[in-house]
Amino acid sequence: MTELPAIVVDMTSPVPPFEQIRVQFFTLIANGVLHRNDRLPPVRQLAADLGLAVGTTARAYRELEAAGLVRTHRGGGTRVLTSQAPPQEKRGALVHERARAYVQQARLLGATDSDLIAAVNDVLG
Amino acid sequence: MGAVAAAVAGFLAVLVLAAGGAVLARPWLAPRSPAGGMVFGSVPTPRRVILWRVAGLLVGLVGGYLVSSDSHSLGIGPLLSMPVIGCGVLAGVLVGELSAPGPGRTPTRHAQLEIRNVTDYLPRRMLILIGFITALLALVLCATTFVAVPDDLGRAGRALSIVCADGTTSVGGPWPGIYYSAPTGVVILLGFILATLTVRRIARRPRVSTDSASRALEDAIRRQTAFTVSAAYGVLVAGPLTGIGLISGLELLDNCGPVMVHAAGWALVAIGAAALVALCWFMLAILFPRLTEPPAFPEHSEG
Repeated sequence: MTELPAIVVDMTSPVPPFEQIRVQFFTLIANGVLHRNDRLPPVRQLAADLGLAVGTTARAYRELEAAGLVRTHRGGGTRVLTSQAPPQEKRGALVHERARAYVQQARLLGATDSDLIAAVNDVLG
Repeated sequence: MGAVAAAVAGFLAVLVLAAGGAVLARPWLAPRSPAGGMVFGSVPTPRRVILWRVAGLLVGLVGGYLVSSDSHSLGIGPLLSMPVIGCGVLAGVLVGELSAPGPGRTPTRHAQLEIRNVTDYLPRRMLILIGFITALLALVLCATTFVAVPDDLGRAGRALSIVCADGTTSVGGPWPGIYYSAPTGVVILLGFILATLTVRRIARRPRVSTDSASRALEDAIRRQTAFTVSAAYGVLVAGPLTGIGLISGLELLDNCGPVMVHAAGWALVAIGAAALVALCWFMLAILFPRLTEPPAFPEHSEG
């Protein structure tokens, strides 16, 4: 079974953490990974898991709400408002594009084909 | 509250001590991690968490002893000793959970797209039983408080007045009126707040692992802790219900009242006896959780 991807925050990145969170949720919603009415993790839980201040994750959620992508209800959590799943062929093309970028970057590190496949298997668990 | 109360309190105190010892001994018997914590699968329970639990039990035991050894309490001490011990245990678990280390200050941090609800970790069957016992305790306490009268020294809610069949009035006690029900209610409310805060913390404390196998083990540990906390709260409410049910029931049976009063006495004795059975079940749940609930840990954790 394919599990939902994790939200990842790189603390060494010049992009602020709230923006990294916002972009990842935006991408998940725009690509139909998160569907209409799906619930986002509670702000406090997400902040605790990421080791960030509650205000940081709350700001990311506020930005998503301002963009009309989610809505927060008192006691009902934050839910996705829109469903924007791209066609299957477009999704396939996007995955292919990302794979090409991965291969390109890994080749620059001197990775062989077996290194590439082993790394992907390792990440997939 | 007399010899019966002392005997019941002593029996319950021994049970609490046995259960507390077993709760604390269980993690110590688990294999150790290199860092000194206790290992469940690949997720260690930090030593700090276990030490806080031990400290909570010790504080509870000292508090319970101090409360029960107050010779001027007229039986309130023995009645409250077990809820006080339970509150100490719950407080220790809560502080331990609060002190549990977070995911660490690594440059790259991960969070799963999941919603961890309290209800995901609580044992449903036990929760139904605890809710029923709490409601029954509230009902019994309200009823005994409503019919209580002051005792011969004018202390409110310490005696029961019954008009006998021959028209005379019999005043007996001790009776669990406001004199006993108010402090009992306060301590149980405190225990309820502590238990609620603890299970909320169990569900919401940050994840320390990112791979799915370790996350499953981590969830199992959360479920097991919530199970123990629920059982501890069960002890906290079943203990007073046992004492109050038996003592008030025996008081009703030991007087000249009409048949209805004797019927109420038998009902209260039955409630007290049933609460004692429930109390033993909660103890069993703490000592041997697998006998009372499906295993909290996955049977096959190898990937």
